[in-house]
Amino acid sequence: MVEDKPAENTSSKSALKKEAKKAEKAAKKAEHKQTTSGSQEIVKEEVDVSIGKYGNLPVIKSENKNINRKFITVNELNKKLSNQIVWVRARLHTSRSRGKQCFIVLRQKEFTIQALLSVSDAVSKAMVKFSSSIPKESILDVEARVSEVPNSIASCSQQDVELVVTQLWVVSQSAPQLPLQIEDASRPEKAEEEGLNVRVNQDTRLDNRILDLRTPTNQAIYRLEAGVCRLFRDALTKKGFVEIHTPKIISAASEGGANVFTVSYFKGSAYLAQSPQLYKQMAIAADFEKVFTVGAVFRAEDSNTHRHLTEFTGLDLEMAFHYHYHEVMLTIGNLFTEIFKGLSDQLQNEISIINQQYPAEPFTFLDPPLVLEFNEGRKMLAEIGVEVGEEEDLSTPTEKLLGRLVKAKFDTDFYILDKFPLAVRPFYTMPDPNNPKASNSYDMFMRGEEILSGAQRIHDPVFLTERAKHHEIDVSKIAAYIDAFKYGCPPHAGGGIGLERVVMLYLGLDNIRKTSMFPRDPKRLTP
Amino acid sequence: MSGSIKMYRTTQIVKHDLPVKLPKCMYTLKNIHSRDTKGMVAESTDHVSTLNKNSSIFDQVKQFLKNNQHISGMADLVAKQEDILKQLGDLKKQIQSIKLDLKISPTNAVKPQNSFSTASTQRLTGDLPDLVVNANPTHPPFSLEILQKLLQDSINFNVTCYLHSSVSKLTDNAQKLEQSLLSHKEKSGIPKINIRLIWKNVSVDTEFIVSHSPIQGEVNLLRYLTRAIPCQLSYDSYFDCIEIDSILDICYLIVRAKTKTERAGHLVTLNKYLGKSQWLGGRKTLGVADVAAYSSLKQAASSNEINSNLTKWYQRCETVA
Repeated sequence: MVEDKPAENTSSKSALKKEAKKAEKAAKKAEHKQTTSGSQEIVKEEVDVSIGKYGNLPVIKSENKNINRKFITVNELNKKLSNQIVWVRARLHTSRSRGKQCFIVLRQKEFTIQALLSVSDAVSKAMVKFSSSIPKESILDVEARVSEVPNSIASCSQQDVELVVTQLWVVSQSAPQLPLQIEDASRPEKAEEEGLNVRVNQDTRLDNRILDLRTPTNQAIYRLEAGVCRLFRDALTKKGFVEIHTPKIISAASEGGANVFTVSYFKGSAYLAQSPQLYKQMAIAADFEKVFTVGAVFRAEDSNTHRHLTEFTGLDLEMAFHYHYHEVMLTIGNLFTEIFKGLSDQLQNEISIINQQYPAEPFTFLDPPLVLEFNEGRKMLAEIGVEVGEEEDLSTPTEKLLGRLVKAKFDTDFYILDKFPLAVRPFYTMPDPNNPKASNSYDMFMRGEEILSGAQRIHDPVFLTERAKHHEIDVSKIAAYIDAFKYGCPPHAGGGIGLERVVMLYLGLDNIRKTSMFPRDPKRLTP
Repeated sequence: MSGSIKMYRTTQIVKHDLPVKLPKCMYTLKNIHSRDTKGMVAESTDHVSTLNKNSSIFDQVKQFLKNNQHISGMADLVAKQEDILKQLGDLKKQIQSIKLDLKISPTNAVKPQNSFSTASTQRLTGDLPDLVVNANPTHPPFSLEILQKLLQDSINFNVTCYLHSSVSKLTDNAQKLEQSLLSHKEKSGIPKINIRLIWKNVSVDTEFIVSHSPIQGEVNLLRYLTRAIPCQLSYDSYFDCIEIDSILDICYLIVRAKTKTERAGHLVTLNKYLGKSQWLGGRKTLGVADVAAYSSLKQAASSNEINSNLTKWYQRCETVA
C-alpha cells in the first residue's frame, strides 16, 4: 500500500508524509490482522475491527480484470434498493464528523446521497476518523447498505434513502486545498438575504474549469449543448442532408479580410477558417444538394463582450432550392422549432437544474416560426420612436429592443427577420428582384440576439463578379470562389449558427463563456 | 335609451319633505341651519334645501350690473364687446362665402359617418396595423370564420396561424377552423387585413394585440374590427347600438361561464333578445351580435343546452358560415 506515493506528487510535503504514515500503519495493521487469530482481537480493545475495510487503494493500473463488482450509480439509489448491500463509486462532496459519527455526502454527476459512518461492531473508531480526514472531491469506492430515512434529506438529490457505510476506499485523492468550493460555484444566482452569499466569479471559474464543470448546472449545460448538436444532426439527416467536413486551414480569408488568424504554414502562411461558407457552397456545386457541417470556426475579433468568442462551434448548413429561397429559410426555421421541441421534451430535467442556478423565463416559440420583414421591424421600432434607416443595419441595442417588442406582441423568443438591406450584406448575397435596396437575406433571433445570419447566394459567376466589383473587391483574389460556379450550380441558400450562442440564449444565460467548455477569447488561451 | 339600460325603481326610504312638528314642552331653539332669507335653507321648509329662485345667478348678475352702471371703464368694456361681436359676424360671412365657392352643402358634411364607400374602407385599412390574435385551442374564435366569409367582397382577411410553444396539440375544432381560415381565397382589388392567429395557452377569452397590451374577449375583437372596417356589421350609428353592445356582453359571459346553470341564465337572456325575429335584436339581417353569439355558443354550449328557438337561429347562422 506504499505504492501509491507517485500518484500524490501534487499534494504538499506534509500531507505526503502523513499519507505515507497512514498507509504504513494501515498496511501494518492489515498484516497484523492476518497473522493474529480472532480470539486475540477480543482481548485487545485497541485492535481495529474494521481493518481491511477502509484505506487508500493503490493506483489502479488495471492489474485485475476479474473483480466482479457491480457498481450502482447514485441516481439509481432509491427505496426499492433498501436493505441491500451496494457498491458506489462517487466523489466525496462534503464530510462532517460529530463524535462517533461521520456524515458524508457522495456525489456522482449532479446526484448526491448522504452516507453515514458510526462507530459500531463492524465500524471502528479509526475508520470513522479516517473517513472524516479524506479531502473533499476525492473519489471513493464505498460499500454500504441502503437504508430508508424517516425524514427526507433536503440537501441531497436522493432524498428518501441514505447509505450506511461498511467499506470505504479512496481511489483517487484530491488535494486538500480547493481553489473553489463546488457548493459556492453551484449556488443560485438570485440574491438571497439570509445565509452565505459566497459566489465564484467567472474568471476563477474559468481558471479552475475542471472543478467548476463538476457543478450540477455545468453538467446539465453541456448535456444540453450535446442535445442541441444531436438534434441538429438528427433533424437535418432526417431531411436528407449530408454531413460534410471542411478544412479549417485555408489559403484566403473567406469573409472579408480583417478578422482572420494567420498561421505559419511551412514556408508561407495560411489562415484559420472564419466559416465553412465557401466549402459548403462548393459542395452544393458538386451536387450534394443539402449539406451541413459541425466544426470549429475562428474569428480574430478583439471584442471582449458577453457574446463573442475567438473560437466557437459553428453549425452550418447550405441547401439547394427550386425557385424561392424561402424554401431554405423555412427549412432552417422549422429546424429550430424541432430543436426547441426536442430540448423541452427530452432535456426538461437539465433545463430545470440550470434554471435553479440561473433563473430565466422559459423559452417560447411559435410553430411555424414567425417571419417578419425588415421593414415591418423598422415600423415596429418607429412606433416607439427608434428610427432605423432603410439601408441601415440593426445595432445590438436596437436588435434587443426589437426582440422585446416582438416578444411583447407575439410572445415568441424566436423569430426570423427577412429582407435585410443589400448594403449591409456581403457581396455574394442575392439582391431582391423587387426592391433594389433589399436583399434575399435573413437573420434569426433568439431572445433578441442574432444567432443565425443567412442568405440566398449568387450562383452565377458573371453576376458574382459584377457584385464583387461593386463592393470594390479584388476579383483576382477570390477567383477560386467565383470559379466554383463556372460549371453550373443550382440556386442555393444557407446559414451558419453559433452553437454556444444558441445554448446561451435558449437558457437565458448572460455570458457565452458559460456555454463554452474551454472558452477562447482575446484574453484567454488557457486552460 | 330604450333597450337594456332600463334601470329599476326603488322605493323611497327616507321621506324628507314632510313638515316636522316641533315639540313645545321645552323652550324653542333657533334653527341653526337657516341663515335668514339668504341662506340655502328656508326657515319654513325646515332642513330641506330648495333652490331659491330669487337668487339665481342670472338675476344676481343683473342686479349687480344695475347697481354698478356708474363704474368707470364699463362703457369701454361694452364698446369692446360690441367690436368683437362685429368681427365674429364678418368671419362668419367670409366662411360662408368660401363654403359657397367650394359647393359644400351642409347635408354632405354630416354624411360620411354613415357611408361605407369603398374609398373610405381603403383609407382606413391602409392604417390598420397587423392584428395578433391569441386564442386558446379549446375556445377557437369562430367569429373570424364568419367575418372572413361575410366580408369577402369588401375586405380580405389574410390569416396566418401559429402554434405557441405553450400548446402541444390542437383540438379538432381549432384544426378545422385553422384549415377553413387558411383555405380562404383572396380576392384581388380589395383591401387586406393581416391577422396572425396564435394558438396559445391563454384563458378562455380570446385576446388580441394591436400595439402593446392585449385586449381580452372575442367580442371586443369584433367591436374593434367593426369599428376599424366600415361594413354592414358596423353598428355604431344604429339607434339600438347600446342593445347590441349588451348582447355582445352576454356572449362574453357565456364563454366565461364556469357552470351550466350560470350559462343557462345567460342563454335565457339571449333567447329574449332573439324573440320571434330572424336575427338577434329583432333585426332582419345578420349582425355583429349574431356573429358573436354564434361563436360563443359553438365554443361553450352543447346542443342540448339551447332551446328550439335558439337552435333554429343557430342553424341559420351555420348556413352563413
